[in-house]
Amino acid sequence: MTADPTPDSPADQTALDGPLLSGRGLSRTFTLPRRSPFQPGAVRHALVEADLDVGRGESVALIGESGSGKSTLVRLLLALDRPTAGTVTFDGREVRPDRASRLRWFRRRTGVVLQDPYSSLDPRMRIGDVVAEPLRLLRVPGDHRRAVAEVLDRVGLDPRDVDLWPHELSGGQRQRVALARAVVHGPDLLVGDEPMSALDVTVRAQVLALLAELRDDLGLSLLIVSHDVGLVQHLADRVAVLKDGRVVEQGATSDVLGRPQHDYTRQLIASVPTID
Amino acid sequence: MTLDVDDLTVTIDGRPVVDGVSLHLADGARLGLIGESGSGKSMTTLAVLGLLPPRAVVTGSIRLDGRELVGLSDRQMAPLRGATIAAVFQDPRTALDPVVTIGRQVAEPLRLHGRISRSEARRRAVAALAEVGLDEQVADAWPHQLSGGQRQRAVIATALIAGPAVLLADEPTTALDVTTQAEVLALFRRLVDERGASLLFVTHDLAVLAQVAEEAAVLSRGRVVESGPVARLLGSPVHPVTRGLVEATRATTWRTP
Repeated sequence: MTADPTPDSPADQTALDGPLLSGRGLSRTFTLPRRSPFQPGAVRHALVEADLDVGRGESVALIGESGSGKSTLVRLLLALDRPTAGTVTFDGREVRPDRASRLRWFRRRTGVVLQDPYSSLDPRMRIGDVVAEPLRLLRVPGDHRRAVAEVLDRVGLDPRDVDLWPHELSGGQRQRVALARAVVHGPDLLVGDEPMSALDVTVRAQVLALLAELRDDLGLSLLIVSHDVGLVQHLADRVAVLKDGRVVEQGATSDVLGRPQHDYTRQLIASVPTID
Repeated sequence: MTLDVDDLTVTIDGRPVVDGVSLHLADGARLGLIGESGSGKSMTTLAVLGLLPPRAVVTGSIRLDGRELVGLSDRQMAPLRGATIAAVFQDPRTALDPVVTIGRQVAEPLRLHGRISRSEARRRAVAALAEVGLDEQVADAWPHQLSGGQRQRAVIATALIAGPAVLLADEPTTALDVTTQAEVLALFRRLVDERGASLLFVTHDLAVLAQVAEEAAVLSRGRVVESGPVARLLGSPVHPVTRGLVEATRATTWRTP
């Protein structure tokens, strides 16, 4: 692999026409522990030749049951794991697990928010430090305190809350902090792994509205991993359905959820409780 | 059996967490109790079971077929729990003892509430597991060998094995994925209807409530703010808290296209 002379300034390589994030032919196999010293361990195909694109400004949802390969695919797309086969490109540039310094440009352009606001925030760090940490780790230039105050205001928190500890906040406030941390460094892509499943319904409605607002105001692309069909219906332009490591269905949200083709998707839609 | 809660107040460290709650669960009915975190719904459930922390102060009345439960000692309450009133809680991972096989756990209420031979306990456990759709082999399995849905079915089998007249379910499907949730909700409806038991179903999710309960009470800050048939609460909510719940549910949950 040739050395990139300017790993932190990829602007000259921006390919404006293609998708922002693209996974092509992604496979990942794991070798299970061997049961006998005389036989090799069994091979598990966690992901089989998956293709997934996230366009610029597009919101894409990845749905599928536990064990379907959702997390494996997201780890590959975020260069947290190396595919057995296939490639990931971001803005036309190949991305693969590497030293932090070589991936910094990619980390600066992506933000991640996880499921549980109770365990995703370090209880020993004040809110201001939690939110500022990506700026520090990614060596983002500029006034960090000001950036933190601005992003807290944007997610509906009081900028004076920087001195609070995570345990002093409600679940909804914590998820706002997690969102602030995910976008403080100005990413182009926000990845959410079940970002609302731990919240009360009124808080969910607020977080959903906030996600849509952040997306629109900051021009973010979204990749949401969820089995919450309601969230997907309200937020995603396009849906990919994973089953047993394969993308079995992919298309516009209204098509995939409105006229599901695959048995798994049909069963999922039929199971969702509704108040209609 | 009927369960009547009248003007129930639970105070913990001087703070009322349940504040004058009244509920009527008719014989064979399915009543929902809905509210968000901290609304007092779980404390109400624990009060009915007599499982509140020792420092909780309880006033008001909880009557099971007319028999007053408030003020009963643990020794007086114990024969009712698991036999007359049974409960299913949210997380099937923590509800099961990791070092006891499923069959022995499912049979435990029988062994606690009467003399029963080991083979008879086993036979009844296998029958209870079959009723919730689990195979006989599950009786010999350890909790970690089961999926989340299978564990919750095992917990439900445990709750039902002694034939309770009143079943309390506190967020029993919150930790499950939607397809498993749909199966477990259907199981609750069927078991309650077939056995003629009464069900108090506690949830924060209106869409789940709509699948399982006929009537419901909306709880906020320890008080019942509105109650009535579920269809009416969803269709024409009156109290701002209920309206907020319905609006938030419409804004976030699946709507049939």
